[in-house]
Amino acid sequence: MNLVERYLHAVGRRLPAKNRADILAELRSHLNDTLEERFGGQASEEDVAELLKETGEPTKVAASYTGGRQYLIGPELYPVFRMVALIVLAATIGGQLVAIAVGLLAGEAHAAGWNAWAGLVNSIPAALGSVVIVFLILQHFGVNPDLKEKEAWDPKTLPAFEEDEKVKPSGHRFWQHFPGLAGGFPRQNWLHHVPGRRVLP
Amino acid sequence: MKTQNQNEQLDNLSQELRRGALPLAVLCMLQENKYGYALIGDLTAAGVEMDQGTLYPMLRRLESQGLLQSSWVVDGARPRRYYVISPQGREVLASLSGEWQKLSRVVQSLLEQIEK
Repeated sequence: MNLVERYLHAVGRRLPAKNRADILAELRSHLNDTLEERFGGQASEEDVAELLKETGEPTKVAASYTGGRQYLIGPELYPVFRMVALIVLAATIGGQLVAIAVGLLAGEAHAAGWNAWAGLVNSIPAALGSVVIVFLILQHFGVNPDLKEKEAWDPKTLPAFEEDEKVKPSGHRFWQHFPGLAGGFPRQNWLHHVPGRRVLP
Repeated sequence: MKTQNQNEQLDNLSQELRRGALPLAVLCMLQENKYGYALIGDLTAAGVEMDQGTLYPMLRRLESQGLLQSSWVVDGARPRRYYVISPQGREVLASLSGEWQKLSRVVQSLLEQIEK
């Protein structure tokens, strides 16, 4: 089979179906024009291989059309994904541990056995998998969190804090981020907890 | 002597510098119908180095933004896709060209200041 066609096929496999035929037709036309100018239609397989090498790996060529931006879960969606995944993970582990504890308290000896632990271990990938699938669908349909401020942001609304408050990115402060779930990202919460500064109310 | 790292850094910076100018060059060169391969030749002749991996995706992007129009022409040896600047593209080119000249003057005067 013609090397050019094999090359185009390899590029095409990595292109979105929507403009695949069109992009390939243009690339084919370009490659044939180049071959004709350089070799006057007398190109050997070596010549063709040389040109294709120059043109670039199929993966790279395809990526130049998609801007290299092919995400399972894109950067806009990722922070939300991570937050939801953490919540789900915590809830799953918590739920399983409670189940084991209840089983033990009820005197069911087998509750602490291998089955209980297997349940815990199995439920984690299942739970995370479901979250991934939901976000995959969101990504596919281009659902993105609205990062734009709904109203003009007023610096005076920044909350005050005590001087001895330290930055604690996790732990008890974690739950404070949930009000941010609906509106936007709780990024500002991380920023204003700077130790050693006092903001007067 | 420049280290490998410095060369790489310089490459990246000049590439970044060129990146913004390339669509401007393409819009300038597409005052009349041209297909990609011929356009690469014209750009090279004008001193603008641009490979197909950069040009074709850019042509598509400019077309999807409404700045170019394209059509397949099948009368020659092989079908070719011809591009030409659109009316909207002309307007954008006019404003961009103003921006370019302003930027160029500003940078020029900054560079002259350090030469003194």
